[in-house]
Amino acid sequence: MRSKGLIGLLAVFALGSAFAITGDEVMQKVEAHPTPKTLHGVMEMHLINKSGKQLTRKLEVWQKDEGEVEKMLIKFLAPADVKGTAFLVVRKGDKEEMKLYLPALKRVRRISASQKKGSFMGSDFTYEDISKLGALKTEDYKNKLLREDTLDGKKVYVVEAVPKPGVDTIYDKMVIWVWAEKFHPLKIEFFQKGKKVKEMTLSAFKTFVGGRYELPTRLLMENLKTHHKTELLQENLELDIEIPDSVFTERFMKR
Amino acid sequence: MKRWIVLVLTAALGLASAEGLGFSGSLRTGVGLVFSDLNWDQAGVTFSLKGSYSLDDAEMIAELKADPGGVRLGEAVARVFLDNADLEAGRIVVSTGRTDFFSPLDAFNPRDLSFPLAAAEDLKAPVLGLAASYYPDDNTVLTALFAPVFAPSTPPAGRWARPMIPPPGVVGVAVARPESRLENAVFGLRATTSLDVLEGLDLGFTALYTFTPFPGPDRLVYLADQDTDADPRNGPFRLVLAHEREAVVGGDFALVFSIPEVAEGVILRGEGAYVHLPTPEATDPLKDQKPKSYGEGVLELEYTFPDGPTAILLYDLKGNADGLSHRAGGILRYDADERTRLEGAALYNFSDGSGLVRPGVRYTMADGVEAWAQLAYFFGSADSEFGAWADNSQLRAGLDFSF
Repeated sequence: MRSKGLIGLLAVFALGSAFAITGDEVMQKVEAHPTPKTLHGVMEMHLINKSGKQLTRKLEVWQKDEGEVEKMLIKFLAPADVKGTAFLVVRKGDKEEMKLYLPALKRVRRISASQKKGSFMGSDFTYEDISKLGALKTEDYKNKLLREDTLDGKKVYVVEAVPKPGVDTIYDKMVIWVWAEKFHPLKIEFFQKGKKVKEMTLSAFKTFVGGRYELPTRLLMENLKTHHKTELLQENLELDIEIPDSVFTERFMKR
Repeated sequence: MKRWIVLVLTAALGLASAEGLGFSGSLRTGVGLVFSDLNWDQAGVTFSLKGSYSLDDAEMIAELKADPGGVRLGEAVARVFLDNADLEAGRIVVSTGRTDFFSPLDAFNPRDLSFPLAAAEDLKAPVLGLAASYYPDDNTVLTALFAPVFAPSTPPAGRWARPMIPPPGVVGVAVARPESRLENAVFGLRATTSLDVLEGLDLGFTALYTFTPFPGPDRLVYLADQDTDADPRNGPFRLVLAHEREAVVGGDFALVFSIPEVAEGVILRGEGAYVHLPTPEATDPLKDQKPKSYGEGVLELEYTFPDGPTAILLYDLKGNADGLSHRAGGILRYDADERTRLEGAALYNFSDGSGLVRPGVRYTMADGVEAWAQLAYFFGSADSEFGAWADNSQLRAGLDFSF
């Protein structure tokens, strides 16, 4: 599956049929989902600390996957103090350009790509979570079916995915709970240095483009060290629509 | 003027209540406690109210500001977005530079130093003008700037004002302001483009024809009616200060690169400018005090440590026929969590040994509500760049509300 970013993050959880025996076969079913070429929508991000206090960010997102070139533009709609801030990512092969527009300074500035391993806009998602999770390639991981189980009354396959040597990732293991009926991952546990550090649950699946895609519209990521949570809600998603290249420009960032 | 301010804000707020959509703004307040030799006093109170109204292809912004320099209208513009061009008119603020703190190319707007500790975006004074940007392709921007009426910079006010010591024989000072004529218009051009070099390269070229931001010594006027010793070489004189025409030409860049196994995504920014000023006559008695043409270059290095702070280091070199001066600066920014940002900045002038240290913290109390606190400590001799404000070292705190 070539598609990455939010498109992939959502589309990786699409349709499949229900028989899997090995871990590789389960993940191949997950990977076989069709992925949209473009995505546009509004997302609401809730940042919830361990005492339950919440901050809300509302983002408008455009994403386009042209194979070798992938583009993503995020504009903040709320809260008002960051409204108008825009974040552009253009990835060509291994090269990645990231730019940030701050309305108060009236300048578009390049930002460091080293930030991709840090928090994505103050959330519990890292930039890598957002950009690479949907690009999980079965052949990059040793996938082992740990067991069959149930999660919220659904039959699931629990697959351990360990990156093969040379795969660039900040996690040394993931445990993925795949819904046996539809081959949607429902939960992913992330491990670093042998310890479970984060857990993501995926829910509120909806169909798009006449049923061609079925995607989760609610993602909840919990940092198990800080007990901080991020809830990502998708609104008004449009898939496979025409998005002109002019959207992914400095000019559009300023508008 | 004040009546106009009230009208603008009333109109903006009326529009907001009428439409209830697309309107946003901010209300920022700040208070300070100045300390010097263990004495404390109240420092300047700042306040600003900014509103914007957005349509699909247009945007309007109006701002009211108050600080030790007084109450005034800030930015007040209308922007129109066309197919491959943007137009902006009104009291505009534009950016023609790329580096932080020291940006010799960012010289279109006059300076607003009425409160020198204001945020960077508030240190530029709006000017009545027009900015037109044309986009020949997705990576290139050509911008033309025009300000028909000269607007002077605002000098530091209140306790920030620095006393002027007139030369011997001078009994009065007057400021000559350029007349509002087409030949005194301020204008400029800026072109920027992005190239696929290393991990990304941005280039910019800027040419501005403007005035020196603050008036300098221009001429001495002999006050014959007050002459007491009959020797016109000794005065009394009136010193006339004037804004000199200056041409600013230069380029800027931003380059992203990585050092394998060491640092990923390092950003190098730079600006270089030549500022041309008229050469005074050899017989001009003030020729040594008049500003001279100079060159200035700034280099800035930015790196974000994995899961750590963002660090920015700057170096500024300025030189003219009299010699070189150099300054350095640094910024360290760290988001401890989604609510707490720690930020420290420091500036140092190697030429006079003065500097400023400015640590601060910003905390998001709720969506759109931020509290902040900041220490500003100036040091150096009384006649140095930053040391002259040593009596203004202060602790500040404030609340920003966005809606």
